Amino acid sequence: MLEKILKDRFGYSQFREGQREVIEDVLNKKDVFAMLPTGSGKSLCYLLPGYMMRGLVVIVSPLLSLMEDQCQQIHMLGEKRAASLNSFLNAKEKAIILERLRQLKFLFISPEMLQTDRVIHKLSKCQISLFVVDEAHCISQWGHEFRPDYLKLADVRESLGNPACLALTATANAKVRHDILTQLRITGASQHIYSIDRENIALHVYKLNHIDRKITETIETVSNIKGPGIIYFYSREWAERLSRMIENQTNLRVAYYHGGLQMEDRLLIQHQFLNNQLDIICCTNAFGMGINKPNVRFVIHFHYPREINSYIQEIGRAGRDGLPSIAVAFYCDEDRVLPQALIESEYPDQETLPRILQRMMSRYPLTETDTLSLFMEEGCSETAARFLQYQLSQINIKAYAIEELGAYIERKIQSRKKQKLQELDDMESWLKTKGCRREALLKFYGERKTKTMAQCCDYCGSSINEFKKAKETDPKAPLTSNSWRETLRQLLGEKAGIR
Amino acid sequence: MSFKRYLFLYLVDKFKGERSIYGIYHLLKGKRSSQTIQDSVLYSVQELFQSMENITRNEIETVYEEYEKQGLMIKNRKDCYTLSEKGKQCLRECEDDCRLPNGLIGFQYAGLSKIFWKRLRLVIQSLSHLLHYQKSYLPVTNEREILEWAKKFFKRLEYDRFELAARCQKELEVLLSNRSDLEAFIFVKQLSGYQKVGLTLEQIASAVHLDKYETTLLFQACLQSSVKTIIDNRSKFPTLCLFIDQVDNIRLTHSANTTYHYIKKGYPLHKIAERRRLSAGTIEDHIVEIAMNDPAFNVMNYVPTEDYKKIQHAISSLSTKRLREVKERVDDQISYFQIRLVMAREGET
Repeated sequence: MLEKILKDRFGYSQFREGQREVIEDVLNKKDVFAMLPTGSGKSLCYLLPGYMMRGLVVIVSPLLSLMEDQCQQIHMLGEKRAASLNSFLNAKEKAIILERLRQLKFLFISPEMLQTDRVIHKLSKCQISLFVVDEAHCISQWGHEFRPDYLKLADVRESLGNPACLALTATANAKVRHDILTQLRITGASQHIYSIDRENIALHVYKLNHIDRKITETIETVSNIKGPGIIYFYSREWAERLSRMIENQTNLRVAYYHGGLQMEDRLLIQHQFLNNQLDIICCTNAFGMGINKPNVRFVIHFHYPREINSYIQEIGRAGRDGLPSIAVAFYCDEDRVLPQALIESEYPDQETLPRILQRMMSRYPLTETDTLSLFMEEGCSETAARFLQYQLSQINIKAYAIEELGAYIERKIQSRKKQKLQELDDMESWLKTKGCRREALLKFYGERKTKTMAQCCDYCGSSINEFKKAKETDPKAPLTSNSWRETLRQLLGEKAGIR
Repeated sequence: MSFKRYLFLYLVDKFKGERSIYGIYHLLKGKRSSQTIQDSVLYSVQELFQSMENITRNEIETVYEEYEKQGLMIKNRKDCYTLSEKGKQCLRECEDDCRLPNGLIGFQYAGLSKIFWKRLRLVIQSLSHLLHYQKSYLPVTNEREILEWAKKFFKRLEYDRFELAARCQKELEVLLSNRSDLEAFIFVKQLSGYQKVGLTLEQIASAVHLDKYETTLLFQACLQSSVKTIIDNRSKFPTLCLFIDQVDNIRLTHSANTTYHYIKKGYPLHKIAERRRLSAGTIEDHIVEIAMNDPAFNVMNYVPTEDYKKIQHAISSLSTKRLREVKERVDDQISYFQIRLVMAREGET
């Protein structure tokens, strides 16, 4: 029965590890928490049951781009009854979607949109078969500061008549898992925890003395190992810089991608990569979520991310086809400065905080949006503003003197910062591991390494040479080689298709 | 990189130190405010209006910081610069190799061209997939309006995909033959189709060894002049025409357009302000915008012929575009609004 739907709807002949177990529990109307490794087809866990149950599947999704991608991927499976509802739509577009809720099978929605009464009202009139929280680790990773609406999902679910809940993630240690279950109030959920380990990805870490060495090592590595691949950077400037250098010094086809690009250019670069027109993408963490390219052979970290969770997510974009792949992280001592500064800048400093609170109190009461914009006028980042706004909404402000309030918020900030710095420390201590890297990585998730594998990590004897290109391939013909008339004919001409 | 230098020095030169570098930013970005539209006419740079929508504040600031450091320009007040002697010399040298591409039109066509381009890209992509019997693909845009338009476009179509493809190809080939091969190349290489993803302007720039500013302007020139050619020769481009239909009032800001409706009904200025709960100053801004965009609009309703002549005289004798200086030269009862109206008109010729 399940296999038939799997074949007919999705074109797969068998389930991957974990999928069937999760799906069966979902079909039995249990609350389910599932941790499946990156690239293991998590979305199937709600898509397939969606076809076997009456009513609407609501999927809470963390990022606009991810939501759009997921929705598009469903459309590409031939399912048109999917829509995404987020704050980027205009009022009319939102209204259209809300009016046709009953005709939908899958609704992707941002946690923020779930805070509006109108949306809740409309949704509560529908039969909801399943309440999915995708990338559920975001609850813990982001919910406590800039996406507090994540922390209100349990209430939302209740006002929708408590439909069965499915929380999905690829990366959550025991602490994060506990946080997710508590915040969603599904502590009795049936749990399916699979290893975060991706055995086909070899883990390599190299410490270098100087940033210049890092540049040359990166360029040399990408020239030698088999692509396509992704290189991650902290900043837009670095991504662009290395992309230019690789373009000038190798015959690889490379492009950069970051949040500063126009939407149209972003789409083009993504599509070029998916269509194997590019060998390398140099990017910030803006690239990756929701991108499903099976044959990525390497992920290089020119700069390491701020949490181990992000690291797992990012390297998990390699080897989704199951073939041998490699993750390489280069680091030097000065790398720490930037992520540390980023963490600091997320919160208002001790001088600004009292002034901000003063101004807010003088205009009390304020709406949520007004509070946010007030904080941002005062120079807070959006992240910091959301954090403050949320913390203040948790207490009865009137009951505090302004100094008390200041001290209270300051404590909150300090403890959160401490936690973020701790996560950064974890990341760094892993990079400095003296021993099996896989073993150490698994330890963060309370797991043990159970198998030995040929290409485990640089410490266990895996060598970058194993991932070398078969032979120096001839430079591929650039897309710019033929004339505009030819290109036009290829796009629309008589040779296209067969009548 | 001499084109970049040429373009940005040229713009400083044109603005005569009377507008800030943010005026330049708004011009290139195509901010639809009366001020920006007016300035583009006053300083005869209308062809560059909305020619670089992707430019950022930061980019402009970095460019001009560098030029100031190199002594190419002198600050005369906050964010306003004039070219130094060295800068003028440099601009003259650049002019030997560089010039603005011909075919740029500016605000009358930039907005329309933008929509034409988005629709064309999507339809070509979709069509190219259809020719290979592929119904699903990742669209080149996720703008709902454009996607909806394309859906309707295919529904309304009176002939099949093969016919449409043949027509598009033929018409595009004719259309682009009017332009240089380089421009046509920049245009076509951006298009995506079946198993063939288009390139970004920056990628094309690097392939043809030009800087991205020149590439962008060449593309805009090609696009805008092509759209104009289509509009002027509808019968020659019956298919491409369809990509332009139903884009209206593209030339006025939405609010100015509403004001224009009232004017056509015969409402006087203060009544419109009252009706629309806007200040008289805002309505004046709208009227100036209308005067610049619609040659048929009669400004004599707001400026008596006598005053018009006086203002005209003051402008030509001063050879300046600064309102205050003109105002000092004419009778007290003549308002800034009237001077702006005359400037709007005179700027066109």
